[in-house]
Amino acid sequence: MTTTVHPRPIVASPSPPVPAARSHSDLQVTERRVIRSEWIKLRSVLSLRLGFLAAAFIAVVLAGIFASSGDGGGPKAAIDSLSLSLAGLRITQLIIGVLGVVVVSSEYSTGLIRSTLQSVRSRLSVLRAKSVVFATSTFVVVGIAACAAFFVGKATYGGIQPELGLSDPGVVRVLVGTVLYTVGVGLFGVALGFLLRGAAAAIGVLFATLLIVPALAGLLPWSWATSLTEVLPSNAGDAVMTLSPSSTLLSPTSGAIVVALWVVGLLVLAGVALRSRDA
Amino acid sequence: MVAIGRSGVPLLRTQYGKSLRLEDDTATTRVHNGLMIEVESLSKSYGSTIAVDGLTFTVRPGVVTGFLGPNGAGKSTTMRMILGLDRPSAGTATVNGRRLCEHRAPLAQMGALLEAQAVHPKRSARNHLRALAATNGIPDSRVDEVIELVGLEEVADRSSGGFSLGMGQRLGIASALLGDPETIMLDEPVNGLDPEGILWIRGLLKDLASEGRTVLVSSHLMTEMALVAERFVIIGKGRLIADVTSVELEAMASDDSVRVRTADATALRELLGTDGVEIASAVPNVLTVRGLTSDAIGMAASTARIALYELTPHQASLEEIFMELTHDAVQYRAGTHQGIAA
Ligand SMILES: Nc1ncnc2c1ncn2[C@@H]1O[C@H](COP(=O)(O)OP(=O)(O)OP(=O)(O)O)[C@@H](O)[C@H]1O
Ligand SMILES: [Mg+2]
Repeated sequence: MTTTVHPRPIVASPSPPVPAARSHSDLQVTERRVIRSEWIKLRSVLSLRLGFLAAAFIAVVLAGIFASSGDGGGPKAAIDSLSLSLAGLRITQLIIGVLGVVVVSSEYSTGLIRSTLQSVRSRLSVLRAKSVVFATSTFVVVGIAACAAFFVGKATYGGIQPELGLSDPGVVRVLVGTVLYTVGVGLFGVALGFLLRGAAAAIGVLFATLLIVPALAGLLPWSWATSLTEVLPSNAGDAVMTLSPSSTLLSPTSGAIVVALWVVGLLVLAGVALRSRDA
Repeated sequence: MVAIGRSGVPLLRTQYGKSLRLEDDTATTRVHNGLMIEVESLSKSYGSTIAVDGLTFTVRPGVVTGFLGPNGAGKSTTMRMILGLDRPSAGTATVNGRRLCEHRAPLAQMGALLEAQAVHPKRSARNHLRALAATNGIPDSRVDEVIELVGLEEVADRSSGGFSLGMGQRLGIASALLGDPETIMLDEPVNGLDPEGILWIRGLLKDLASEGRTVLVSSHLMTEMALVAERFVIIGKGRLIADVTSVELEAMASDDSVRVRTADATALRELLGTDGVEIASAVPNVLTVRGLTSDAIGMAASTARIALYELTPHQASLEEIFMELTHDAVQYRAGTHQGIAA
C-alpha cells in the first residue's frame, strides 16, 4: 500500500489581521434583560398605552351606567349587584385579548421579530418575556379597573337586590377571578399571535373561541356535549367570575384550573411553533 | 469551454453548477482566527423550491466581501440562515466559530440589516434601539452613540413610521452597529438610497472593514459592489459560482477583445484568421478580434503594410464578467434580453 504524502500548505506564522480591541465582557443576554426589552417595547407605543387605558376606562364607566338605573323590572332583576358592576369587564377582556395579539403580530408584520430573535440566545425567552410583561401589565391595569368598577358600582347602585360588600362570601373570589381570567385572555392573544402571526387571523380565532363557539356548542344534541361545553375557556371563565355558578358551569376551582390549562396549553403550542418554524 | 485569456493562457470558464475557487491571495487570511462567517454545505428548500443548494464559503475579516447573485439566487435566504432565523435543510452556518445564538451576546458578534424599516411605525427610533440594546445589556449611552453615528439625532424621538426610506435604512444600520459587532451583514443596504446616502454607506463599510471587522454585503448590482468590495462571493440558483478577490475576478474575463478599424478589413481578416482567433464585424471596416493582443495585431498589420486607423483593447468590466458568470443562473429574464455586448 502506498501512502501519498500531501505537502502541507505553507502558512505564515499566525498573524491574523489584528481586530480592533473591542471589549464586550459585560454584554450578555439574560432573562431579565429580555424582559426589560419587552417592557420598553410595550410602554413605548402610544396606541398600546391608549388600548390599556380604554380597557380600564370602559370597565369603570359601564359599572357606573349599569348600576345606576337599577330599577326592579327587566332582566336586571335577576343579576346580582356584583355582576352588574363587573359586566363592563366583558369588553375589557376582548380589548386585552386584541392587545395581546397585536403585541406579537405587529412584530411579524413589520419584520421586527427578526431583529428580536437574532439578538437573543433562545427564542423561548422572547415568548416568556412577552408573556410576563403583558400578563403583569394586564394584572395591574385590570386589577385597578376591576376594583374601581366595583366601588363605582357600589356608589351608584340603586337596585332591589341586596348590595354586596367585600366581606360577603365569594365577592373577593369573583373580583380576583375576573382579573385573572382577563390576564388569561390576554395570554391567549399573545399565544395566538405567535401561532398565527397575522392580526386578522389571530383576532378572528380569539373572538370565535370566546364568543361564537360557546353559543354553538350549546346547540349540540348530544348529552356528552354538555360536559364539553363546560370546559370551553369562556364557560370555565364564567365559573370563576360568577358568585354562584349555575349547574351548567364547573365549580369555581375547577373553572380556574381549566382556564389555566387552556392558557398554558396554548403557550406551549406557541413555543413549539416559535422554536420550530422559520422566522 | 476554453477561452484564451489576456496573457494567452487558457482560462477555465466557469459554468453554472461548477464552482471556481481560486487560491487565497495572502497566507494570513488563511489563518483561522475565529472572527469570520463560515458557511458549510448549506442548503435550504421551501417545499419543492431549492433556495440554497450546498453552499460553502468563508467571509474573512479586514475586507468588505460582496455577496452577489441575480434575483432569487438565495442571498437573503443564506443570510437568514447565518442569523439563525431560518433553519437550514442541511449544513451549518457559524459566526465567529459558533452558531449565532450560542454566543453570550449575539449583538456583539453580529450586526445585521435584513430589511429596512423593520420597526414598529409608532415607536420612536430611540426607543426601538433601546429595546433591542436592552436584550444584550447594551447601555443607553451606546444607543445615543449609534444615533449620532448614523446622523439621526434630529428625528430620533419621532415615531419611525414617518421616516423616509433613507432614514429607515440608517436606523437599520444603527441597530446593526448597536453591539459594536465583530461581524456585520447587510442585505442590499443601498436599495432606495440617494447618491449621498450611497456614498455614506460605501465609506462606512470600508471603515468597518479597515477596523478589522468581517463585513458581508449583498447586492445584485456588480457596479455598486465593485466600488467597495475586495472579495466576491457570487452565487446563482443557490449554488456557489465563484469565491474570489477582485483581481482574480478581473482575470476571469474571457471575452477580452480588440477593436480594429482599418482601411482593408478583408485583408486584415485573412491575415489574422488563424486557429483560436475569433473575428467579428458589425460595422464595415471595423473588426472585433478575440484571441490576440493589440500588440500582436498592430505588429502583424504593420508587417503586412495594412493601415490601421484605430486599435483599442477592450477589457471586460467586472459587471460584464459578473453577467457572464451568472448568465445561466438568471431566473427572471426580460423577454427581450440581449447578451453581453460583443
Ligand atoms: N419563505 C420562503 N418561502 C418560499 N420560498 C422562498 C422563501 N424565501 C425565499 N424563497 C425562494 O427562495 C429563492 C431565493 O430567494 P432569496 O430571497 O434568498 O433570493 P435573493 O438572492 O435574496 O434575491 P433578491 O436579489 O431578489 O433579493 C427564491 O426562489 C424565493 O422565491
Ligand atoms: Mg434578497
